Amino acid sequence: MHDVADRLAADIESAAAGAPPAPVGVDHLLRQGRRSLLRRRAALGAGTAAAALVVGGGAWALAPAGTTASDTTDPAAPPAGDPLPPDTLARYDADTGELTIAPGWAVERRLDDPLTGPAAADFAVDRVDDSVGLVLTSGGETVWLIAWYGTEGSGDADAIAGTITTGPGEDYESFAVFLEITAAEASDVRAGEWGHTAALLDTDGEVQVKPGWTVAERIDAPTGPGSVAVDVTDGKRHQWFVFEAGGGEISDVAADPADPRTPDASYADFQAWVDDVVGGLAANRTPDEGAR
Amino acid sequence: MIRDRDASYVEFVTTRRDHLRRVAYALCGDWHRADDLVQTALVKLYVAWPRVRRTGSEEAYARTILVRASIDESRRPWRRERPTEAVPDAPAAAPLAVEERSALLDALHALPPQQRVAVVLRHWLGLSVAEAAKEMRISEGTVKSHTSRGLDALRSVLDTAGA
Repeated sequence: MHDVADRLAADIESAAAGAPPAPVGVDHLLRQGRRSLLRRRAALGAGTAAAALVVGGGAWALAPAGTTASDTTDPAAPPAGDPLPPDTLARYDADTGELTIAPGWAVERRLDDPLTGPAAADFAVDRVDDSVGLVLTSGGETVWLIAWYGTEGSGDADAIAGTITTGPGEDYESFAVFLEITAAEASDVRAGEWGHTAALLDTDGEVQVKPGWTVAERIDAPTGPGSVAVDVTDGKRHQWFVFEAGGGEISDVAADPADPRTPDASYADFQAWVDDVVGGLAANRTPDEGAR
Repeated sequence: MIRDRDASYVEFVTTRRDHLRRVAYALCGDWHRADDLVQTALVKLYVAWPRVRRTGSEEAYARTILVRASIDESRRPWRRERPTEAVPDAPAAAPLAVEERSALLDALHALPPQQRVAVVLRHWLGLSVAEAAKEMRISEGTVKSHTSRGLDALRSVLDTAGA
């Protein structure tokens, strides 16, 4: 056994000596990790707050964005909207968009719209209609949270409201980092996390297109069940894709984002390109892959 | 605190990433795929960091993700590919010239995925049969059979090379 083990160790070390450098730095991993953590919190925290928080019934309305904290923290402000759910310090009314805060809590700081806009892929809704980051204090206790509400799909569905928060004990520095990550996540989506690619196949097997783009042509199952070819356009440019979904994973096997073909390209051109891609895929596939 | 979490996480990544890259490379045989696997594992590790760190199982957690991801990946009908700026009309780039290959590694990477993983875990990383079975989510008996077959194949390569 030692022969193989020793040789394996030596050969792996030797291979590592000629390996390319790691492609991403620790900062990138941290950012990715924070985003993943945020998405997890968003998924778990929608509509809930830290269980350790205990607040009374009733609620009062928070003044519109842009007012100062002192304007918004009058404990004598009249109750508005439905009472907050137990253990919830702040929450939007998904029907009216009105934000309410539990009585006895003051807004120490606020940041408007950290999440507002198209939502991150794993978020509870497709679009966040309004959001606010808040540092709330009561007595000696400080809590930070982001309240949001939004809609799924076309917006025909009922709006959903939720609160992302952590338990007491976190400091403002942590809150600032949290807001920074959250805002960066939303900003990336708004600024075009899509990058040059204008279409993708989501985990449900549906084609999603970048905002402002539409599917001009579509060929179903060019390489078999679950595959689709699309011609997407923003009215000026076209991109052509062949997507395959297999084994629960998505393979965007060919994309042509930089293709110089313009609206002059015809359906026949698109079809010919798809045929080329499909032929190339078949030629490059092993018999084992092709048999699946 | 997020800052504490980040500091300890960065320390772990800084000290152990090279080793995890080697593990991933041993499992998949390609440095680029290895880096994808390691990145996936380290991002998941960040999310689970407080819990994993409390139990002192940081490396085992990351390695388990690598092992399972590599096995899962091998089950995909098609490997994942990223969109390109243009449809390639030329052959893919040749393997890195600087990469040192060996007949033993080639043979390792030619093994069926489960045999390869079993050999790496048992005979490179020194895990027990029980530990390997847990990471691979298979029975101890299956680990033994995979390991035995994998070792037989590798030994034949060594015998041939030494003949």
